[in-house]
Amino acid sequence: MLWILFYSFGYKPDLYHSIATDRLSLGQYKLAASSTFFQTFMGTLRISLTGTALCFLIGFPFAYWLSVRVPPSRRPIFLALILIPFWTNFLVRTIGWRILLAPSGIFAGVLHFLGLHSTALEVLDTRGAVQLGVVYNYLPLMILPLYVALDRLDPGLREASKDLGAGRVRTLFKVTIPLVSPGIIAGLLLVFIPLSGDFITATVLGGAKGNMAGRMIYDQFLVAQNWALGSAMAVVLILLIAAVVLFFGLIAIVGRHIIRYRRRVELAIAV
Amino acid sequence: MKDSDRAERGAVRLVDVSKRFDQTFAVRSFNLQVRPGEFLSLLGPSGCGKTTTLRMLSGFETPDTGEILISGKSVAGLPPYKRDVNTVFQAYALFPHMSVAENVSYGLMQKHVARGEINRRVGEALEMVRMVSFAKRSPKQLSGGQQQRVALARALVNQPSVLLLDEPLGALDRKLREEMQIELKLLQSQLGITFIFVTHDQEEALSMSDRVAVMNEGEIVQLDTPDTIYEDPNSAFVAGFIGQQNFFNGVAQEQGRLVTNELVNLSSSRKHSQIIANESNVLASVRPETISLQVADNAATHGVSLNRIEGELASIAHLGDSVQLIIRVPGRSEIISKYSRSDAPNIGVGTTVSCSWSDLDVHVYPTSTNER
Repeated sequence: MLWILFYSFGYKPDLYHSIATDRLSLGQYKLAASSTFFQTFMGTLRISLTGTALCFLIGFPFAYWLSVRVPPSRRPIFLALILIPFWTNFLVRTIGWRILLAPSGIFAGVLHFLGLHSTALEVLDTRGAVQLGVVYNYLPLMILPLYVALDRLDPGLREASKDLGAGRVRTLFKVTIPLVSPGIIAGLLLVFIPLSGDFITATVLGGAKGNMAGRMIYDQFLVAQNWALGSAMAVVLILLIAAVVLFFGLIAIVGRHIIRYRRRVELAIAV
Repeated sequence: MKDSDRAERGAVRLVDVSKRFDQTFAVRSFNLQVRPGEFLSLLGPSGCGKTTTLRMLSGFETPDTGEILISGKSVAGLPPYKRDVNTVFQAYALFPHMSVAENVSYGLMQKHVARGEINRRVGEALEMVRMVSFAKRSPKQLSGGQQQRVALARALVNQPSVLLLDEPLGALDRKLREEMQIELKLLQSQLGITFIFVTHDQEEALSMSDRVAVMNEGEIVQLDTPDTIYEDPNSAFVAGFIGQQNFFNGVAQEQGRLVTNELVNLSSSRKHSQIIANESNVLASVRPETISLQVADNAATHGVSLNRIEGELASIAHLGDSVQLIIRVPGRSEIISKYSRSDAPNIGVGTTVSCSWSDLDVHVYPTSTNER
């Protein structure tokens, strides 16, 4: 980490050297924040935020269903179905989607069969394909902490809530979600942080249109051999991730205080 | 609300209710009528269907057949959150992310009661269970008995027509349990709310209830006052489940007025709850506290005597307010005799004693009822 920070103030001296640090400057940051790269950073944030949100929207109902509705004896089957693809090499899994999404691939065939789409499928090498890929790749990281948190939640608490007059939705928001919030936070962080730095999914599925910051940094380090710019980009990415996490963390803390305030009870009797 | 409805508030009726899990009946053609303001216990061994019955009343289980009426109205299809009943759960199920006061206010918040009224009613409910000073604490910081009180306040603050209690004292130690029993009973008579109390602890059921429904295998075996249940159990199951018993296998003579076996003859002057055929196998029961002990005469009567059996005093156990004596009788299991502390006979262990009882204290049951 410190090396990266240090390198980010350096420069690329000539064609044959990756890094020089005899003169330190903020020049690389100026470059990293320039409009071309800035666009990629914003695109990355958009993909990772949307991806995290999608993972949560798919993962939470699934984890809830698994921990509440599925009898414990059958849960290992579903957990295995989530985990086994996860054991496969990340790259191979992602390349698999190229086959599925190919212009005349399986998805195109199905859509064509259903009469929903007649021309060749043009998802591959777009931001849409990257979005789909990251949701697929990071979904287990969302489901697992959510499942653990939901599974540990005493079902009696949901029953108590309903017994006291709260319907399903109110029980979900007033009892279930507050009590599994550590699991939710863990899931969101586990998905958002590695997703923001991911470069394989973007490389394999994104083509030119679906570039992500991770890929850009990879290029600077290993293709352009400009370690200084790569380091500066990496630092910018870290700062961006930290800013996003802090921003949502603050929202969560403020939200929690508002909920506490609205829930408070002031006894008429002196304590 | 009509006047007839108001008079019915708190009445509970189960009409021919059955509930099956897989292939086995949890509750089988169950009929029960609970009067408004009554304290009724469902008592039975685990797996007898008492909790299932309670969960059908609260709405967490749906009966396969039959009808449930609460306050005179059918609750078929009503989810738990729309029923005018509240439950005190076995493990209390207090919300760990809320304070004591917030837990108690939860039900009122759901009904959108005005904040001023919530503050007032939560205060009253906590005062009722003497937990006002703990209002701001987290449930995790409370002892079992205190959590129990909060759970009670959280249910009662909603002023339900019926309060359902699912073995609420099960997790408490004995001393606390006895205190809570008294407290619950006082609270119930003060509030006049119908209490339906599920327990497997017969002492608990007998000490608190107006009536007790003894359940076995999904059915009510006997529904009566605690006194009648104890004094006059209607079957060998109830006789054996409630309190201690000395059982004697035998063959009935004179329609059950006499029971004979190779060790002892028993005569019974009680009215039998079932018709007993001559020469049928029966089970006679005698409560330990009705058996009196004497040091046996030296000229021990050999052979079979009436309402008297001899044996060797094997042990004496002091149970606080009572003394339990165990008599070993050759050819059968031990006989238990119980005396109050002040009346206990002064007999040493190893002495040959004769146990005797009155024909008023002998109950006779057909053995078939035990093997239903």
